[in-house]
Amino acid sequence: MLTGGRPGVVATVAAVLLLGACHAAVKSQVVEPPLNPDQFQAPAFTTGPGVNNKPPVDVLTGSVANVEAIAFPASDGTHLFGYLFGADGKRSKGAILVHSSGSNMAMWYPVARRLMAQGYAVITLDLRGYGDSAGPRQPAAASSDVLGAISVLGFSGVQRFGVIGVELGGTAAVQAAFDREDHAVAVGVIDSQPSFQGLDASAAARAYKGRSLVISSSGFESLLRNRTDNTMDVSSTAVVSGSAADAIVSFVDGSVR
Amino acid sequence: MFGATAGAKPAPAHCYPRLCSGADAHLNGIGLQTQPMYAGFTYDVRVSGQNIGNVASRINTGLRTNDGSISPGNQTVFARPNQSYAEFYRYKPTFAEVATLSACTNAVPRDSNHGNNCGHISTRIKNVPRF
Repeated sequence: MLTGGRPGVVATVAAVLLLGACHAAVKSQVVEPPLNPDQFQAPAFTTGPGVNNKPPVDVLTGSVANVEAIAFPASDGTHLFGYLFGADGKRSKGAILVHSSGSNMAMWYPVARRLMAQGYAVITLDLRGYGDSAGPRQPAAASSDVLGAISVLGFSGVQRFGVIGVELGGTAAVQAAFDREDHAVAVGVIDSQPSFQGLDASAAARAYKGRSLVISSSGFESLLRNRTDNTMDVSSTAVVSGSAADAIVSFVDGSVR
Repeated sequence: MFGATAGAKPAPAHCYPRLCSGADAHLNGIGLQTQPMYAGFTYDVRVSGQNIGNVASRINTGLRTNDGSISPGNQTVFARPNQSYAEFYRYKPTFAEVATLSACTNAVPRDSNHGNNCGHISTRIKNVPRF
């Protein structure tokens, strides 16, 4: 029996060792890799699908002091992402900065920091389908996204604010500012047209009574009233740096008091 | 304006006296925009927190209640070390009673300290006065 049993014992031990090795191999496959800081160094103007399908876009540079990451629903419930600059809850005047169809909210960070330093609460947001916000890209719904940001600003205690946008963002800014004209006292458009891929703000522009800044947006010049026109060339350089940024900061500071 | 938060605890003993290593979502508070609240109407609720850990991370936050509906149920932000964050929800109470709103916020995939993730507030829901 003993002699007959030995090969069985050896086979059993071998099988156990083999199973153990396999188990270790399987286990090593399911161990989560450590977070890699490099994956968060995405370049500016990176865009992509919603939050569940890709690594986060973190292009916020500089101090995070007083800058709050915010997640909020658009007026139709779509999950959006943004930053609130000046998040101390003590600011009664604000601004919302809306990006163009070829970029994301990172284009506005320098202007947002300047306005924050001047006492404004400022929201930059990724429109749906851009940056970390969910859903497919949908220019026709961009004003719903801006209305969601306006609710957040209201929650933060802001009473009066301006909405500034570039290209698609400008069209959405005019529509949203008109929808919330009770608090949106100023609107700025840069390189924008009254209609953009299904979003038509022509009627809103005609009816809007607040102050407006029009930079290189000839379509809006005949529609918006109480406006400051500016024909500076913003197509060859970054649209919100240099003199355009100066004009925007000056306009907001002069209009939202 | 902002309700007090119960349930947040200091760093666990195995980290003391330093912060835990890794991402650590800390619930700061649950804020109600309007009080009193009436059954059948929709209100904004703000859940705020801070990543008090030393690693940037995604943060998942959820809000629940015993009375009415909340949308969306969960939201995600990306927070760098020491960065504060806020997530906004729409809350529609159903009945006139004392409603409890409970929030939990977690760094994903790992949160180094689960003792400071959750909290709740209670608020009275009223019926709309009839004239």
